[in-house]
Amino acid sequence: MSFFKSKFFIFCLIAAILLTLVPTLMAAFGGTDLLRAALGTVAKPFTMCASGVANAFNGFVDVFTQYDELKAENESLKEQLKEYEDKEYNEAILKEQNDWLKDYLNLHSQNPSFKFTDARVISREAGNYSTVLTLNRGSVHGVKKNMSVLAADGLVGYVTELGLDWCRVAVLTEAKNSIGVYVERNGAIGVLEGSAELRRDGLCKITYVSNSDLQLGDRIYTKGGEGSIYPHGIFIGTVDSSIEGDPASGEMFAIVKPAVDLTDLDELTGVFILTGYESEAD
Amino acid sequence: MNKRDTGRSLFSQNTVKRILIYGIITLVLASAQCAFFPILDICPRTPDLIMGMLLAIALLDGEKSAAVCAVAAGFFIDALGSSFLALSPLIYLVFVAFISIFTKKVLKSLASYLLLLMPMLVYRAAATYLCILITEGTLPAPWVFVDILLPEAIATGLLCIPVYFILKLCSGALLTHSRFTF
Repeated sequence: MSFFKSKFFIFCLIAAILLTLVPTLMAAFGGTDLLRAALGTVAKPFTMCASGVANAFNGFVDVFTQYDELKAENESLKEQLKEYEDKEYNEAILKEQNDWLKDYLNLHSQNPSFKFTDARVISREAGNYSTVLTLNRGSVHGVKKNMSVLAADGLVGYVTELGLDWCRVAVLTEAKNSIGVYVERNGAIGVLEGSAELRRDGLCKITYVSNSDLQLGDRIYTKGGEGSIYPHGIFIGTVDSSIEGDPASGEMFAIVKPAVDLTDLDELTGVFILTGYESEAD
Repeated sequence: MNKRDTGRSLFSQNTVKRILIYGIITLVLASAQCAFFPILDICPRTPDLIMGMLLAIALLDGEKSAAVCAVAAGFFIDALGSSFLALSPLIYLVFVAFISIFTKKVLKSLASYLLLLMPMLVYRAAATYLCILITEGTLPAPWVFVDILLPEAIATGLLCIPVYFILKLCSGALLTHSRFTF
């Protein structure tokens, strides 16, 4: 008990009380304890070093303690990624189907009496003198020769060759094509022909138009009727340029741009074969 | 005259040694207590290494050395860690005074240190609870015990054992027969 009564202890106690009260009161009243600040500065390298070691140690420990957690998270993320990839793939398919249905609906609403079968372009041959598409539908699917082939925007061509489960289509810009057409604006009748010179540009020409009133932007439709493999009223394209007239006969000639872009066949993937209309040439 | 000169010289040398050794140990342990253990994920509560150091000093070197170290280390700990309440010098000094009752009656050995760790942990828990009451107000006692006091006591008890060996090692550098006096 002598230690409690010693001057040494009392001195230490006074020092401790002062070192307790002064910083506490200074902190309470918003003052700055210079001695504490100096001690903090002296100890800063040590505390920084200690913090660095602690952080490094934490990182080292995490390798062992969080390994299972990280592994599980990795597995979970892999599964999520696969899920998203599947979802993205399904979305692409759905979008394609949606586009096709939209086209089909559009065509069907324009021509309610038509019966279509869908087809996919499985091969494209764009040679120097002919442009032929091969579709994945043939005789087993009810496809017949000379049936009309349409895209959402308009006429593509007609079936020229037939297999069991495939068919070939000559596009309307082919030189051998000759289609009876009419101008929507005034009902003028003419003939749409393919041309070897215009085929590369995806164009064709309208000739023998009886009415002299042919204008740029006139919409051209199939005339149909007897002797035609095409039904009446399928949209082909618009008058694009080079309107010329023959003063003697009064007939006009013009370049027509088909609504379906036949220069870029890669874009043409899904088409419709008009099965509800049988041409007399069959 | 010669004896007195020799004695004064010896005393001064020991005092410098003590200040240096205990100062460095205090600095390292305080840095560890304030900057290392609070960040360490595997240690949920910060152990009171300074208290373990004071116990070892009181046991190995005497209560006067421990008392001076208690005041200095308490102030240092507050300077590093405390933002408002700076009770550490008082808490540590009272601990040294309290533990000095027992240190005179036991051998300077690890077994005595381990034995005295128990009252030390109880005292540390009481001091922590007092600080909680002052700073946080009344908190549910079971929660405080399970979540704060018990983990702190376990961490302190375990990590104070190496502190004893460090102090034991350092005490070899000091003259065992001299006492810290002014």
